[in-house]
Amino acid sequence: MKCPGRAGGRLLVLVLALAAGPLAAGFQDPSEVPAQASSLAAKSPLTAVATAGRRLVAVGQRGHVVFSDDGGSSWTQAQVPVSSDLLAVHFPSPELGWAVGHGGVVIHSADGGKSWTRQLDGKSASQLIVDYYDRAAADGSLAQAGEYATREKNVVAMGGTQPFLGVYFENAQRGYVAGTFNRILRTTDGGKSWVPLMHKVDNPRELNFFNIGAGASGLFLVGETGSVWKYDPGADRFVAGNVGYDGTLFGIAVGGKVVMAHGMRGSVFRSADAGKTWQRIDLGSSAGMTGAALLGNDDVVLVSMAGTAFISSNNGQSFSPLSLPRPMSYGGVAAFGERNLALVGAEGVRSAALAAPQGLGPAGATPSSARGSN
Amino acid sequence: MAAHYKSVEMAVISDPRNFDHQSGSFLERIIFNNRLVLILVCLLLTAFLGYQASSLKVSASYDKMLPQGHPFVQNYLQNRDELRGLGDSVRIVVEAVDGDIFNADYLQQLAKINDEVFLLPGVDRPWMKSIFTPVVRWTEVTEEGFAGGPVLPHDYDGSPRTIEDLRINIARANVVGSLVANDYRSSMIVVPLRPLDAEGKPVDYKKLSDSLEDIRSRYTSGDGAKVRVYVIGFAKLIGDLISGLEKVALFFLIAVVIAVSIIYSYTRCIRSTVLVLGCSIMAVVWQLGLVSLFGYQLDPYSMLVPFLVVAIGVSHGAQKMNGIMQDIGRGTHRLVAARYTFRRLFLAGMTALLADVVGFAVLMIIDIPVIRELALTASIGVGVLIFTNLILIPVMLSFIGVTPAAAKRSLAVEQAAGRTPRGFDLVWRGLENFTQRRWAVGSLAVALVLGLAGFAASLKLQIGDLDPGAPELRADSRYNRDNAFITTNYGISSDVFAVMVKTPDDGCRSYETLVEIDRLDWALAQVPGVQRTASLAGTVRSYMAGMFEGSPKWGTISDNQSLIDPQINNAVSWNSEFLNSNCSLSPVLAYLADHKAATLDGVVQAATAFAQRHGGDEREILLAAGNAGVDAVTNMVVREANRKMLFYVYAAVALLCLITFRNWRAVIVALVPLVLTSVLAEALMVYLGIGVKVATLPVVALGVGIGVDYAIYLLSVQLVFQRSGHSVGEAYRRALATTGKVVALVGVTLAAGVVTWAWSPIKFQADMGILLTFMFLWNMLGALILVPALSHLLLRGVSAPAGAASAGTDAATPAPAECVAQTAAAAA
Repeated sequence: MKCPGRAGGRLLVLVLALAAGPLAAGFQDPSEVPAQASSLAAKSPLTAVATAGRRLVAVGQRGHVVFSDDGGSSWTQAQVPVSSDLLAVHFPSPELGWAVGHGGVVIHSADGGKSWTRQLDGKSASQLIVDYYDRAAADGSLAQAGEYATREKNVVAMGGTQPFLGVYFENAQRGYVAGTFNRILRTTDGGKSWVPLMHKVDNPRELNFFNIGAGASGLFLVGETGSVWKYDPGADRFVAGNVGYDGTLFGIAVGGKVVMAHGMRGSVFRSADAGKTWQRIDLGSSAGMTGAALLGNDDVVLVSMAGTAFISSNNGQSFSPLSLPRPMSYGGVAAFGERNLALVGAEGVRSAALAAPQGLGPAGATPSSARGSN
Repeated sequence: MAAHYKSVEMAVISDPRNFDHQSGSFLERIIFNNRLVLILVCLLLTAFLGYQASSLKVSASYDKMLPQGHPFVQNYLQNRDELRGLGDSVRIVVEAVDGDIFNADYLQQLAKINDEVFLLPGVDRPWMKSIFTPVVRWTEVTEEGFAGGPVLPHDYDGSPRTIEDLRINIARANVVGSLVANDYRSSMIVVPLRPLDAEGKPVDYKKLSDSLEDIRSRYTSGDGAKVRVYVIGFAKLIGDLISGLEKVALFFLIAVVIAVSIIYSYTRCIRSTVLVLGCSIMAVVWQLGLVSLFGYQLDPYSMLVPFLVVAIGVSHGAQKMNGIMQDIGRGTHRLVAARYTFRRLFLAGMTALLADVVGFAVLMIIDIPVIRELALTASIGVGVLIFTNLILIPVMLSFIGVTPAAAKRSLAVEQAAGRTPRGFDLVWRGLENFTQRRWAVGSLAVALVLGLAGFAASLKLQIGDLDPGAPELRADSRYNRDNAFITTNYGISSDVFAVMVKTPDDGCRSYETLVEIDRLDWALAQVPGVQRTASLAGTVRSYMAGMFEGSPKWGTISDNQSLIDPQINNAVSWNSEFLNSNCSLSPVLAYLADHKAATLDGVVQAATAFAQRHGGDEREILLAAGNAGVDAVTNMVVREANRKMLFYVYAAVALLCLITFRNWRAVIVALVPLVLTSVLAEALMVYLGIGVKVATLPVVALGVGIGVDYAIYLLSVQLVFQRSGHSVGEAYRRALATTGKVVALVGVTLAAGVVTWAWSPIKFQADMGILLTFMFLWNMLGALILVPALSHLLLRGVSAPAGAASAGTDAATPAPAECVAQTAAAAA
C-alpha cells in the first residue's frame, strides 16, 4: 500500500502491507463462501420463515439460517455453505428441508435445518437448463426446445446468475424451485437431479415467478402482472390465470377453503374456488403485502413491508388491523402451534401469540393485538 | 572555570567602589557593566513583542488534532475531498416548543434557520441536509415504476395539505431517527463544513460558533419563541472551548495573586516581590510575542503554557531574590549582592531550567500538531525565563535593592539554628530525621508500598476518552446537554468510524466491490459497541428492491451488472454520501455507542483483519476516517507516545542529573521520588477516571521535567557539603536550611499556579490542573522526604573523611548557593 509510514505506525504499516500481500486470495463469490457465524443473525434482515415439525426455520440475507425449538424465544444459527441472500424455505417433513436464493443457490438440510449442503447454484442451473433443451432439440423429443435453449442462453449472456425466489416440496423426493424469467425446475430424487419445466408453464412473456405455494386447493405459482399459474396434474402443466391486477403478486397462501394471493400496494385477492375466480379484498392500505399465513381455523394473517399486519376471522373476506409488538418491515409470516405467528423482516425474526378467536361478531370494529416475544 | 570561581572570595562589600568590576565571568561583566543598555533592550523587546502578542489569536483547528504522520490519517487526508459529509460537520436540532414538527409555525421557523445556516461562510452547501434541502429525497415504488423526489413538497406553502404531504414524504424517505427525531418533536439540520472558505482561508470556527449562537439566541429568546435549538459538532465545540478560555484570564489573575501572596509572606518585601512577578509576566509577554512572530496561534492546549511560565518564573525569581536578600542582609551593597547571586545561581538556574526545557521538548516526539505546538511554545517560554528571570531580575535588583527589614529577616533563617524551634522550624527539624536509619527505612518502606499499590492501580489506566459526548467539556455544559438531547432523540450516534474502499475510477459499481463492501459492512456490524453500519451496499440493496416493486426478496446485490448500474446511477444523481462522483471511493460507516478505547480498538482490529483478507490492488481497503477513526488513531499514537515519552524524559533527566552530580548513586536518589510520583499520578488518573489522552499526555512529562528541579537544587547543595566532609545528616540539614526552604516555596507556588485550573469550565484543563498540582506537591514531598532517606542508604560514602573540613561557623562555611554554583560550573 502507498502509506508512507513513520516510526509511530510501523507495525500498522506492516499489517497494511500484508493486506495487499499474499494473504489476499482474490474475490470469492458468496455462493462459494460459507455464511459467517454471527450473534446478529436472528436480528438481521430475514426473508422467509417455515415450520419443520415443531421447529421454526427462518432464512435471509448473507446465507443466514436460524432455527428455534422453543416457539421463537431463542434462535440458533445453522451451518450454511453459502453466504448468498436466501429468499424462500420449505420443509415437507420435520427433517428434510430446502432453501433457495440469489446466486441461484439451492441448499438442502436433512437434519431439520441445523446444517445444510449446496445442491445447485446459478451457473450449474443454467448449464443444466441449456443442456436439457439442447439435448431435447437434438433428439427432437420436444417441440420448441431450441427456443427454450436460446432463451436460457440469452439469460446467461446478460451476465451473472438468476435467483430462485420460491421453493416447494411435495414430499422427500418431489419438489420445485422457481425464479426469474419463467425459470422453474423440478426434482423427483430429493434434489440430486433437476429437470427444467419452462416448457410446461403458460408464460410466453417469460414473467418472473415471485413465489410458489401449495395446499389442499392445489399447487400455485405467482408473479408479475397479477399472474397465477395453477398446476394441472393431469396435463403436467402450469395453467395461467390472472387475479385481475397489473402489479406483481409477492406470494400465495393455499388452504382447503380459500386461496389468498397478495402483492404490491396493498393488493390482496381471494379465491374460494381453488383459483378459478378471484375477488379483490380492500385492506385500506397501500403497503406491499409480503406475507400471508392461514391459521388452523378460518383466520388469515397478512403482513406488509410497511410494518403493518391484518387479520381476518372470516376466511379472508374482510380484514382488520392487527397490532403486533415492535413492528418492523415484514418479509414473511408463518403460523405455528395453537395461534402463534413467526414473523421475519428487516430486523430479523420474532414470534407473536394471537388472542383467542374473535367469535362471530363483525370483524374490524376493534384492532386485534398479539403478544410477542423475541 | 571552576578554579576561577573558587578564587573569588565573596567578601562582604558595602561600597560598590571597592568592588572589582572586572571580576566575574565574561557573561557577568557584559551584563553588569552595561546594565542600562540591557534594561533598555529588554524594555524595547517587551514593547515590540507586546505589540506582536496583541495580534495573537486564539483558535483551534480540526487538522491540528490529527496525528499527521499516522498512515490512517494520511489515508484520510489523501481522500478527504472525496469523502462527503465525513469531515467536520455541525448538527443543529430545532425542537418544537409545542406539539410536533407538523405545524406551520414550526416549519416556518425551521425554514428561516435553515436558510440562515445555509448562508454561513464555510458551509459545504450542496451537502447540507435537512427536511428542507433538496438532497434529502424519498423513493417509492408504484405499479408504474420507481418514483421519488425531495422530501419537501415542491408546492410547499405551509397549508395543511402540503404539511400532510411533507409528513408522508418523511415517512417514505426513511429519515426518522436521522433527520427527524423518533418522537417527531424536532428535526435536524446536518451542516457539513469545508476545510477552507470561499476565499481559500481556513474556516474561522470561533466566528461560525458565534454565528450559530446568535441564530440560537434570536430564535429561542422571548416568550413567543416557537422553537428550541440544540447545536453539536467540532466547530461548536471549539467555539465553546474558546469562549471557556476567555474565562481563563480570571484564573490567570487568581494564580498571580496567590503567587504574590506566597512570595510576599516568605520575603516580606514588596518591591522585590513585584519585581519577580513583573519579570515573570514579562517572560509571558515575550513568549506570546515570539509565538505570534513565528506565525503560530494559541489553542486550547497551549493556552495553559503562560500559567506554567509564570509559575516557573516566580519560583526561579524567588531563588535569585533570596540570594540577593541574604547578601544585602549581611551588609553587601545591592549591586555587589546582585553580582554575587548571579555568579552563584546563574548556572544552577540554567541547569534547572534546562531540565524543564527537556520536559517540554520531549513532547515534540508526539505526532500531533497541537502537542508539538504546546511543546514549542512552552520551550520558548522557559527559554525566555533565562533572560528575564536569571539575568534581568539580578540586574533590576542591583538598582532597586530590597526592603532592609526583609533583608535582615532573611538571615534569621541562618541564625535560627540555635533557637528553640517554632512553627515551620519544627517541620524542618522533622525532615532532618529522615537521614536517620529508622526513619529512612520506614519512609522508604512506605514509599515502596505506595509505589506497588500505585503500580497495581495504574495497570487499569485507560487510553482515550471515557465519557460520552465531548469530554473536553464538563458533563453539565450546554454542549454536552445538547449532545445528550440529540443522542436520546435520534438513532444515530455522533461517533462515526469510516473505512474507505478505494478502487480505480468507476470501480465502486462492480459486483465484486459491492459484495466486499457488504461483507465489510457486516464484519464491522459484529464488533461490540457498533450500533449500526451503513454503506453503499445498503444503498444498492434498497434501490434494487425499489426496482423490483419494493420486494424485500430483491434487497440484494445482484451479480448482474445491468441490474446494479441503475442503482449506482441513482446514487450518484441523488448525491449519496457513500460514493464520490467518479465512483472510486466508498466509505463504510460504523456508528459507535461510545468512543472508549476498547470499542475503537475492536473496530480497528476488525477492519484491519478484513483489509488483510479482502484488500488488494483492485480494491484497497483503507482505515480510517470519521471522528471515531481519528479518535482511534489518536489513542494509538497516545498509547505509544506515553511509554516512549516517559522513557525519553527519564533518560534525559537522568543524564542531566549525572552531569550535575557526577555520581550515579545520586542520580538514583534524585529519580526514585520522581518515579514514585509518576506511578502515583497514573493511579490518581485511574481513581479520577481520567484517561491518557492528548490533554493529559503532556502532564507526566511536565511533572518529571519540573519535578527534577527540586532534586537538583537540594542534592547538589547537599553533595557539596558532603564532599567537604559533612555527614549525610548534617549536609542535608544545611541544604535544607537554604535551598530546601526554597524547594518548598517553589512546590507550593507552582501548585498554586495550576490548582485554579481545577475550576475551569473546560474539563481537560481541570484534569491537567489536578494532575499537575498533585505532581508538583508530591514531587516536593518526595524530594524533601525520600532524598534524605535514600541518601542515608546510598550516599554515605560520598562524605569526605572526617577532619577534612571542620564544622566551622556559619560565616566560614561557604554560602550553600555558592556551592551550587561551583557544582554547576563544574558541570558546565
